[in-house]
Amino acid sequence: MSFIEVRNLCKEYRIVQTEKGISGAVKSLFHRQYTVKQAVNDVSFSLEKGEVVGYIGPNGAGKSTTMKMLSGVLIPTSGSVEVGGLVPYRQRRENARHIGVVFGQRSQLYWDLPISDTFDLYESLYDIPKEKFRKNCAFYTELLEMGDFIGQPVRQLSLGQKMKANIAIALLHDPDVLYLDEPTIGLDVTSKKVLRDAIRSINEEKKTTIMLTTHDMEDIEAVCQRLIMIDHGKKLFDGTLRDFRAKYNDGFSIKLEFDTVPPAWQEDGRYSLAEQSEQQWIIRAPEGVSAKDAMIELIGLYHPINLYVQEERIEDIVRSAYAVHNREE
Amino acid sequence: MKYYSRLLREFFKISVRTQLIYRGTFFAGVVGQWIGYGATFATLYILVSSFDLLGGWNGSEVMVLYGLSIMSYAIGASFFFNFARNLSMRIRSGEFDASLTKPLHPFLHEVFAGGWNIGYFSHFTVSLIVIILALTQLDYHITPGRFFYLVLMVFGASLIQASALIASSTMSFFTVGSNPVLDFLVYDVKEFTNYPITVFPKGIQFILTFLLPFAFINFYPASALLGKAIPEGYPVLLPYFSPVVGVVLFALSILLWNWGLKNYKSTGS
Amino acid sequence: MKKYLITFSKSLKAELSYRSAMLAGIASALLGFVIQLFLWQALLATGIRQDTSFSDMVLYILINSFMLELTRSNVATTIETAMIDGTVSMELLRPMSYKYYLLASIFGKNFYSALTRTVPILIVGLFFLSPNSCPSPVYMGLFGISALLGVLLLFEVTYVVGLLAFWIQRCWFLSWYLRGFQTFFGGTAVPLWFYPDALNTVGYFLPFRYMTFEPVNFFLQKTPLSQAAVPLFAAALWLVGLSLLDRLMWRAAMNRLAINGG
Repeated sequence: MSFIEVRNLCKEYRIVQTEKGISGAVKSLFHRQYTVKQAVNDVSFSLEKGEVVGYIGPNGAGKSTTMKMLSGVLIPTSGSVEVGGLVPYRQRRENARHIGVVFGQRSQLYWDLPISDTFDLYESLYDIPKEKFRKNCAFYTELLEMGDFIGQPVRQLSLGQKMKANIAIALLHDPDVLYLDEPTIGLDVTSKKVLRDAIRSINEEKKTTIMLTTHDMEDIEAVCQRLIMIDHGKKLFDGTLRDFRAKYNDGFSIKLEFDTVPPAWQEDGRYSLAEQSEQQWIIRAPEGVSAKDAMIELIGLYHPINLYVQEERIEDIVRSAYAVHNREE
Repeated sequence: MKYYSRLLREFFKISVRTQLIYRGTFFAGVVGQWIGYGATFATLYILVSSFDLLGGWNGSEVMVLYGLSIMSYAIGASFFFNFARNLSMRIRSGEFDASLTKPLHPFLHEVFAGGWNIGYFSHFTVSLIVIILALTQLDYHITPGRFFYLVLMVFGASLIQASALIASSTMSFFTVGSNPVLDFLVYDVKEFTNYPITVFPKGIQFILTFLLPFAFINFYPASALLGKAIPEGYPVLLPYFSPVVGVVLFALSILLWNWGLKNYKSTGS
Repeated sequence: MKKYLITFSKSLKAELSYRSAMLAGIASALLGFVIQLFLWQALLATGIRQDTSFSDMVLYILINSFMLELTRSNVATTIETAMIDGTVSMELLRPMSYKYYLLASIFGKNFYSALTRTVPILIVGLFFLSPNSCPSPVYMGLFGISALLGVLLLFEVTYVVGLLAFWIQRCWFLSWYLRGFQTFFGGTAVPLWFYPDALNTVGYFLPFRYMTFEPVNFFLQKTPLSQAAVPLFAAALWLVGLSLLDRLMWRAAMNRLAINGG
């Protein structure tokens, strides 16, 4: 029995159809049409204690809906969820004591008060013992580099500072699981780095199980051992980042630079010319060809002055993975 | 129990702290509401006085009646106005979902998140002053017993006012966008309570007593206090039932809210 | 002119899309009207005041509520919100006057609610009006002019108050002051002829009675023709004075924005 067990999870909801314009608005006064949407469709997975899992998918894929069912906000249409032996939507309050949740930039903070006031509030809300509260306050203030702004009213803080504070308050009670929905959205590069490092340290030091959704694949590379990808409510992939690359990476790119006008391109069915400018080519090498062979062959054929082998960026792999599955549909 | 009393303390502390940040605005707002409500009281008094009687009540008596309505609203709304007004916005923004991840009943958490609105201090004071002035005008002697009676009635009335806010906010679980039912129930229907219900036809008196019992907010308490007649054929003890009506309605409104919440949890996405 | 018309129709359309809000608006207007009818029936039944008939009061309430609906959503809060969330700088970028942009969008919003809320109560009200309720053409004309002045005056006052948002960040309370004065001196709840003379006299020197009370008075033919010029002139005077004031304030506000940033 794993720590988090999700089996055949489904969630559907109805959307009201409204037509455009005044006549549409008038029409909807009398008659409303609904369509049923499968937000999450037969998703199963399990997580062990202490795992960090990235949950990815395009907008509207069902990521947040899954998170909400895991955290006890929504009741599934069918299927089951168990977190640490509890059913979140049935034992919501008991479950709530053991989880920490951050839903994007929706702030849990009091706009006009300093973060420390919100901390005090959470101390009583989660009934955190004094000693533990003091220790955790100090720990997270340092880990998330919040010392400089902990006394300032929240309204004066930047997005990154608010996100750090939101994460800190989600962790004050030492939850077993941390759900992060888009923790790095809209943040600058430095804040992203601090957050990623912090998430890693939290996982290492507190053995917190972490599940995060994101659009930024660097988040995944930096913190996740494992990746689950969904689209249109269905699970498409579940495994390590390495397996993900292996599965969806269909080759690599090689960049050739020329000092004069490049020779004519010779089509041979294996390599393809992906991009072409005056003195530069980007060539796609197929899966199965080693970089060494490709380099020797291409140098012999075209005599470039520079040659670079480019590792596929994870963003591109994800894009091609979505494309693969959309083609299959 | 200790957990809840600690939370309650934190609730008052944080509410007062957030609202007194803008001290200047706060006091300017208090004065503004004094003027706003003062004007309403004054025009109503002028109106009734120029006709001597309204439904058998004179100007000062109508002031007590209206004063009780405002005072109980001030108390009920100070706890539940933000709660009710913000719910649909909080659902849309996802803040309400975050509430559902907290180890506290969502109803309590929402009250908590709304905060105790100390802005109603102005409604409270203006109605208190009006009631005192009107009772003085009426040569009414406050004995400890009568004082206790008044407090009890205001308590019951505040619960009724709170119930209206809670019940109407339940709509937010079903519709997106603004919540006109809230305005209708809380502000429009309640306008009946500005005047003695003896002004209205029998059918409306019945509705306001037994179906939407807003008459228990102020009409019945005030008629018992001032010895005014209640509608013919109604039980003589009816005026003393305000606190009971308040407690029952309050409980029902919370049940209704929980039912809406359950629906939200199974239909949301 | 066209861009203001578009603003007007966009706001109108946005309002139309809330169906439950519309139904509730109609219900609320009807209910409020019915409560007022019962109130006045009870008051007039005492027979103490002979200067006012029930039909007068029905008209009074109808016209008053239509005029108030036209300026229902408040410019002051609109400006304040735009200041707080920063959209004001976006709005200032539009190639149109902010004042008239506000005017168009406010009336777009309110015209709809004025219609949906007033038409139903007008239908109910018709049953209580006597055939001679309709004023003579002369009074009708006077009513038209004074109603136009009144609505503009009401907008102008809220606009001036709204401009204060450039100086005081949070000024939601100002609308309370305004509402208080309007209720008390503007006769929106109780006709001013029921007021003690002293109070009534004070009202002549404030802009509030020219907003809705004087137009209704023309409709009810209560103002003698010999004195008809007085309220019209006073309203126009206030209008000119306030628009001079708002221009000064606008200039100062823009300077302030240029110095302090949005």
